[in-house]
This record gives sequence, C-alpha cells and structure tokens, in this order.
Amino acid sequence: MFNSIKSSLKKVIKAMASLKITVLLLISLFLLVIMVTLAQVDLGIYYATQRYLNSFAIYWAPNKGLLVPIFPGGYTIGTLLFFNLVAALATRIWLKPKSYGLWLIHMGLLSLLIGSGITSFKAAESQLAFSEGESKYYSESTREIELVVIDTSGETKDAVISFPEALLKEGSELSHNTLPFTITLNSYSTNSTLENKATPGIQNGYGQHISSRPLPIFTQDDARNIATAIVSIDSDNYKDKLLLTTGLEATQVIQVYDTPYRIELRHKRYYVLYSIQLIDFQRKLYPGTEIPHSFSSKIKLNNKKTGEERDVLIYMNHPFRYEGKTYFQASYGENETLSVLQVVENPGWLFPYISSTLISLGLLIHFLQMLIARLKKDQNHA
Amino acid sequence: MEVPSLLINSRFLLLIGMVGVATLLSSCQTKDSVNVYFTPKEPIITFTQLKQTQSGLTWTTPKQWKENYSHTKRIVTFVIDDSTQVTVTRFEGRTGSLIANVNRWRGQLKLGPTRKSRLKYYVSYETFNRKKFTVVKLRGPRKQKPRQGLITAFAKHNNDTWFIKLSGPNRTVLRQRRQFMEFVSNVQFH
Repeated sequence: MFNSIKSSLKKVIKAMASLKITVLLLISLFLLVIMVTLAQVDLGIYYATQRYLNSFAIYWAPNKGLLVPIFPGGYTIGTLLFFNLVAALATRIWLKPKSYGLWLIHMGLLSLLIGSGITSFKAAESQLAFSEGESKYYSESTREIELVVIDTSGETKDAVISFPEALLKEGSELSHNTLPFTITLNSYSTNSTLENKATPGIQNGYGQHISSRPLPIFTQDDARNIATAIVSIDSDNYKDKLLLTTGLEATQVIQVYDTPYRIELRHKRYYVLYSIQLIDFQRKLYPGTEIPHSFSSKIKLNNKKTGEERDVLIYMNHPFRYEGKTYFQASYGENETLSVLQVVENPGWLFPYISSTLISLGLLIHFLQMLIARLKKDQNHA
Repeated sequence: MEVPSLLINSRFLLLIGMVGVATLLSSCQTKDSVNVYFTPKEPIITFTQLKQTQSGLTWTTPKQWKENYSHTKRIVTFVIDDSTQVTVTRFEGRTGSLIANVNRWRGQLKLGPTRKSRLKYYVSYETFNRKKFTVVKLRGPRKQKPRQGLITAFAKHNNDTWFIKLSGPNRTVLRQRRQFMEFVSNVQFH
C-alpha cells in the first residue's frame, strides 16, 4: 500500500518535473507580461498588477456578475513554476560535483520565486504626508481602505478594531467579540463623489449634510478614489445609520452602552512604534530655471522604546531605512511646507540579492567546470 | 563523490514545498483578518470643525439652530424654523457700496430703494474681537403677511467680506436678534 502510494507520488513528481511544462509556463509568463504591460495604459500600474499578476486567473466578464477565467494569473503561473522547479531538482538534477553549478542556479531561481511570492503577498507600500513641524507614527495606503471602529474610552490609548477592505462588500455584516454592536454595510462604493445634500434616512453625523454618488473607479496612478459606505449600526440599545467616507477627515462618534466609539472609513494605516517629525523640506532648482535639482526632507526620528533620537536627511536616491521600512522622498505640496514620503516594507527584499548571488555563483562554477573539462579534453587529444 | 539524490532530494522537496505553502497560507490570512491594536489618542474633528477650518471662520452654533451645508455657495446655513434662517457667506474682493447692498436687501423684502442720507436709520456699527461689523436692520412693508425682516452683519477680513444674515418673519427675527448678535460677536476669523 505504502509502496504503491510512493510510486504514484514519484510518477506525479516526475510528470511535474517535465521540461515541456517549464516551457509552457515560461511562454505563459511571457504572454502575461505582455498583457499586463498593455493593460497599464487603461488600468494604471496598480490595477493592472492586481488584475494580472496578483491573481490566480484572468477573467472575462461577458455579463454583469459572470466571470469566466480565460488565462492563468501570476499566482497560478508562479506557483506551478515553483513546483515544476522543485520537482526538477528532486528528480533530474542530482546533487553531484558535476552539477553543483546547475544546483546553485536552480536554487537561485527557486529563491527568486519564493521572494517574489513573499513580495507579492507581504510587501506594503504606503505614504507618509506631513507638514513641517508635524510628527507622525503611521503611514497610509493610497489604495487600500479599512473600516475602523475605535473605542475611545481608554485614558491614554484608543483600541482600534480594523476591518480590511476584503470584508467591505454590500450586505456584509461586520462584528467582533469586543464590540457590543454589529455593522451592516447597506452600500459600499470604492469610488464616489460627495454632494452637499442630506443622505436620506440618516439622522446622525455628517450624512445629514452630505450624500454620495457612486463613480467608476479611477485607475490612473495619480488619481485618488473616494470610498463611501452607508452602514447600519445595530445593538440591543442602539440603532443608527451613518454615512462613512474617505473624502472627509471629520470624525463621527456614537455612544453605545456608555462607551464612545469612533467609526471611520479611511485609507489603511500602517503604524510604527516610533515617530517621525518633519523638520524641514527643501526643493532646490537649477539656477535660473523652474527645473527641480533636488528634493530633501530633514526629519527627526524619535524612538521612545530604544531612546533613539536623531536627525536624518532623506533625499533623492538616498532613502532612510529603519526597522524593516524604507522611506523615499516621493512628493511635496502646500508651498513646499509639506513633504510626502513613500514608505515601502518588503520582507522579501533580500531574496533578489540571494538569488542573484546564487545564480552568478552557479553560472561561474558551471562554466569553469565546462572550461576545465574542455581544456582537459583538448589536452588529451593533443 | 556522487550523493544519491532520492533521500536528500525528497527531504529538500518537502522543505521547499512547505516554505511555499506556508508563504501562501500566511499571506491569505492577513488580507481577510480583522486586526485589533492600540494607538495613542487622536483629536476628534467634528464635521463642523472641519467646515470651520476649511472656511476660515470659527463659530459656536446656538442650541436651537440647525446647521445645513446643502447650499454650495454659502459657508453654512443655520435653520431656525421653516421660514427663518441665518446664512454665512464670503465674497472675495469688492462687494459693492453700503447703499447698493442695503438696497439689494430692501429689494429682497419687497421695499423700494432708499437714499444714502437715510442709511443712518438702518445701519449701525459694532466691534467684536477687534473686528468692526456693519449691522443693517430692515423690516418689510407693513402690509406684508407675514411681515418679513432681516439683520445683516458684515465685516472685512483680509481680502474677503463676510456676510452673516438673519432673515425670516419679522417677529421671529426680533425674537432671535439677541442670539444672532451673540453669534456674530463670537465668530473668529482665521
């Protein structure tokens, strides 16, 4: 019994290691890269990447609500390539001195696939926009949204319960064991426009003054969508209906069982355990022109946990790396008193370096082995 | 020396496979999960405070007045009852002479234009928070049913002129006069 399972498994692994599969997957990857490049024209980088690379399949929507998968997405091709490579290593490329180089090359390719998987799933990009003198301990995603309920009854800290965007769908019910109420999303729009008109049925909060109208999603890279939701809050002693939007920085507070809760729809925040204060932003121009020569932000890092307090200068091609995050100078505003830093956190950042080293080393060993073998052969002939 | 691949490679396969699957599973978990965390307290900004910051004027809304922002050209409208309201508007640059403005408001009350020499009967000046306000009080014709009335207080700030106007049935306007002037005396320009 065990032997038969083992032999069938071996057959499966052997089939998986097929070079034909490798070629097919590489052609698919090539086509996918062409598709995603062309799609960027209409969808922008973010949505094209999401639809083609960060997905298991590419869908065709002939009718509303009907999705037909027509091509494998980046996740499917990446995963299949990964297992194809692992199977090839396990069955074809033996660990013997003659193939050390090939082993290293394949290990390098594997680490590249693992690294891209980690980057695709775990990397987060956000922005930190602050004015001179302002101090911040979080950055915000430009695309991802979260619905947060904040228990503000604590004396020094607020307890935040964050519902990610994946859960924000029309009709979905949000609850948590620390909350005495449930939130039902009566409507949710990723993009909308706000109007100075009361939202029907809303008696509390800013929905009494403004309403929203859904809009198609803006896919351009520099466009910002305004997400809105109409939610019903339901508990034994409290019922309410609120309009939530990312388009207003106003706060709405409800009181349930004597506890004040803030309810907000906002761009997803990434908190850090230290603060960054913008001391000075500078934009230098080439003399006599309006062409920028350099942008720089002088910041003060304050980490109360480690007692670290120091000034850092961030400028073009000189990002600031701290506790797994990299801060790049990205933009500026408000008469050069506001700086925008791009914050990148990528746990897989080391993998391309490891991969390149392994592949280079593998290629070097392999070619040296081939060269030595060739020289030896020539010598023997002579 | 050749190392038999079967043993080493199957362990290797398992290890690499586990790394790959673990990566997939851990990432799927974070995208859909509800997060709970603690943050330092943040100031609460109400919708009114936000509007005040955007407009450049800070005010305190009297209890009976209800804020309304549906009129796009106004900073804010306060609804007192179905026919009485206070409007706050801001105009940039020149806004016309005092007599032109008074006659415009008289027109709104169905009154004919008046002369410059008669302005003293309708116009007074008040200073609140070191800001000089021109206050215009007008009543509609006696035969009007209900007789209408208005009080407008306006002041210049930087390059703008701010108009705060109470209008409605004269009886309600008179009743609200004290509260209106108290409101005007409390506004602060940024």
